[in-house]
Amino acid sequence: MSAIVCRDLRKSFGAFEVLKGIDLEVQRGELFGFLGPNGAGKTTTIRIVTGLLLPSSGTVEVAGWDVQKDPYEVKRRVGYVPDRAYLYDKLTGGELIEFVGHLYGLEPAVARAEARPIVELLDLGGWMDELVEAYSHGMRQKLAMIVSLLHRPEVLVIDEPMVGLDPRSARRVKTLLRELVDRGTTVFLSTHTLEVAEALCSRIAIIQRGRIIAQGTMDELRSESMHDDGSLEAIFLRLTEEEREGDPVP
Amino acid sequence: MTLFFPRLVALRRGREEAGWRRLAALVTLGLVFWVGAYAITARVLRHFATVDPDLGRILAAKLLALLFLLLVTFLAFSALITAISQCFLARDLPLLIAAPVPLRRLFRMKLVEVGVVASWTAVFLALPVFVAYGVVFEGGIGYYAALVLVLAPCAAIAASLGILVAVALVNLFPARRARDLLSLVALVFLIGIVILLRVVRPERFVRPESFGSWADYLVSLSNPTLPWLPSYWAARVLGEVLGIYQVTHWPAVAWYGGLLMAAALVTAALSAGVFREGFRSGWSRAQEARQVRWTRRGWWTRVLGLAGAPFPLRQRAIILKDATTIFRDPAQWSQLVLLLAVVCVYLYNIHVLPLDAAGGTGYFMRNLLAFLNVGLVGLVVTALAARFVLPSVSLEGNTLWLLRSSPVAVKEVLWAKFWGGFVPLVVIAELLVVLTNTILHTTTLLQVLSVVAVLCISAAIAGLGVGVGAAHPRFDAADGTQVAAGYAGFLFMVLSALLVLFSVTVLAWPVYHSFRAAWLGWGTGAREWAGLGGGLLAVAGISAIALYSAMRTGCERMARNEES
Repeated sequence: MSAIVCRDLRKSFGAFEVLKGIDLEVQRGELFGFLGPNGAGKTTTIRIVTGLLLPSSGTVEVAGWDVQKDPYEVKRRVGYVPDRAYLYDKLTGGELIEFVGHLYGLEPAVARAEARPIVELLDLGGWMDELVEAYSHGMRQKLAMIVSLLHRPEVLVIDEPMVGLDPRSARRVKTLLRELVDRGTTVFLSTHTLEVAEALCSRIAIIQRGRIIAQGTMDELRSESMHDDGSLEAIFLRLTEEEREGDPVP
Repeated sequence: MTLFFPRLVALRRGREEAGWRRLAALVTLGLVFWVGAYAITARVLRHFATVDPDLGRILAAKLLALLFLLLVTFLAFSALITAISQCFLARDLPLLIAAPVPLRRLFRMKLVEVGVVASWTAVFLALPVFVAYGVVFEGGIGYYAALVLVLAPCAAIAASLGILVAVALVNLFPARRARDLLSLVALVFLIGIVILLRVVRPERFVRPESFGSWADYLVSLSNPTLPWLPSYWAARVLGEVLGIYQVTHWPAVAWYGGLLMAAALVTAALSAGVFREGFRSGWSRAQEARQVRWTRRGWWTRVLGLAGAPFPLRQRAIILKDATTIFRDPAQWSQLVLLLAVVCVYLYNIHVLPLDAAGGTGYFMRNLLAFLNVGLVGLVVTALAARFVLPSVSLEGNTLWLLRSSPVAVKEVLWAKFWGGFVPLVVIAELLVVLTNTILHTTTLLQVLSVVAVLCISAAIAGLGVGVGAAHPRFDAADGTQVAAGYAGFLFMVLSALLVLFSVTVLAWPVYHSFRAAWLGWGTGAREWAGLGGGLLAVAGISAIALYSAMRTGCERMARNEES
């Protein structure tokens, strides 16, 4: 069974059509990369997959549940880390963990116990009694990642995981993502850091102007782009450039 | 002017986005307030003149001096709060400080900004009163010109002092974050209000019998109140121009006007000097991280935990999170100190009301006041809810994704906001009612009636606050006051005021009959009990309808907004 299935997904804001029929299938236990230029529709797709936004048409199933019909069942099974992790400044890291744990029905002790290994892995152990307002951007990003994993989600949707992270933290996040996939969690990752996507993802989709212009493994993308030994960056640039040349300017 | 460009563009966009319906609603409310304030002031001033022309003039001058004293006190306080926020917390500051903008230009910009932001509300509210003075005393164009010339230096003095004190406080006060200073400012304001009341003692003027003779009373009234303050100079200039003191004494106008202008120039120069010397170091200090305080578990977390215990896990989490956030944010809880000041003044005024002077009607007056107090407490609850309950959804702002991505229904979120707002509101409201009734020595019947009515009204107002706040959120608001000052605040105030008005009106008739029966020695019969019961049922009914419809509308609108 697939972890995420999008069928002819469309979304318009007023007269502007952001998504023009997205078809996607992400397998369980897969680390799936979702790439695209700025304004291509990545965040809109992610917001629909996580149940934050309703599509104009089309269907989305996550972990076997329809996002429109059973949004709370989907949310119980999904962890979400946005690209800009705004958190409650006046709570401490520990309190935020308890708060989010409560939202998922976890008792404080359970939430803290779930968080502890990830807190240690991401080097936030000494910061749990500090107010979030004292955290740097990278620390907030790590805390958002911790709280998204408290309820052991089946699917982790993560938007720009490496923004603001120092090299050591970035490496630890990569380790964490690999461990999650090894344990059977599906990771849907959107990023502009192509090296990360290339190193981590088993399959990748590229979106441009609201349409998926390519998807598959690295080898499949290479053959699709006719760039047999190219890096993901070269493939991405070639595919998005070709698409831009072929498309009339809206 | 360049430095104001982004603000002006944002103002124009904001007005375009607000739409004509909202604008029309705000203008209507403004006009209603202006007409009402004008009519009441003009009536009072004319009444003064009919009692005794000389006494009328003295009272009018006294009232003008008190008005300016209040205006300048409000301006000074408002300017200090605005100065802290505009000079050390505004979002445009990092950009301005990084740009090659000389400090004197920045000071001039901040002076104008603080002056306008801090004074426009007070001036807007006071304007109809000034117009009433102009009409009643037949002040010509000269009066209105003098009014502008007097208000401008008052605003300038307040803004200069605000910036001066804000820069000094940020540099001197041990608080590591500028926002912490707001709590200190609130405390100073509380003390200021108490001192002001004790110095002015306005209650003396409604008790002429407490003076040795009529002449003593007149002399006491004629004595200037705090003549060394700019508020007195401003009132004196306007009084002289209006001819309140029978003839216009132009040298006095020149003298007090000169004093006012000189004070504005001197405070502006002093403020510029302090700004030049202390702004950079203050700005740097204001950026430092807040010291760890109130972050470890203590008695207060246990109290909050106990208070939240009756609620389901998710709602309890939201209630505790909101309470913790308020207690850790001085910008929010300092307003509770302000509320305490207002409550003290309110109770004190009830205490000093000359009810004994009313002779045989004292009993009736006391109970009438206690009954009207239900309405007044309803308005206090409205003001509180406008500041703390109405903005609760909007203040989730950018952090709303945490709630929206979790399996918590909109309904659960809003009910958590309701309970988190209703419980403290009803405790404060009931305390106010019981204390006031105790001071007034009202009957047990009225005590019980007030307590039940206020319980219903508070629930409805909390529901209206959450519902209207969720239906018209402003997620970009920097703080709760911005939400309260917007369209949602206007709508909420109107609905709450109508609810309070309806409740008091419905209860008035049975309460009147019940007291009439008691006064005539008939006792409270079946008819009176039925009337009182029916009145309370009507209040409970309308409150339940208001609460249910507001919460339902809020849930529907929020869910719709979320998903689109």
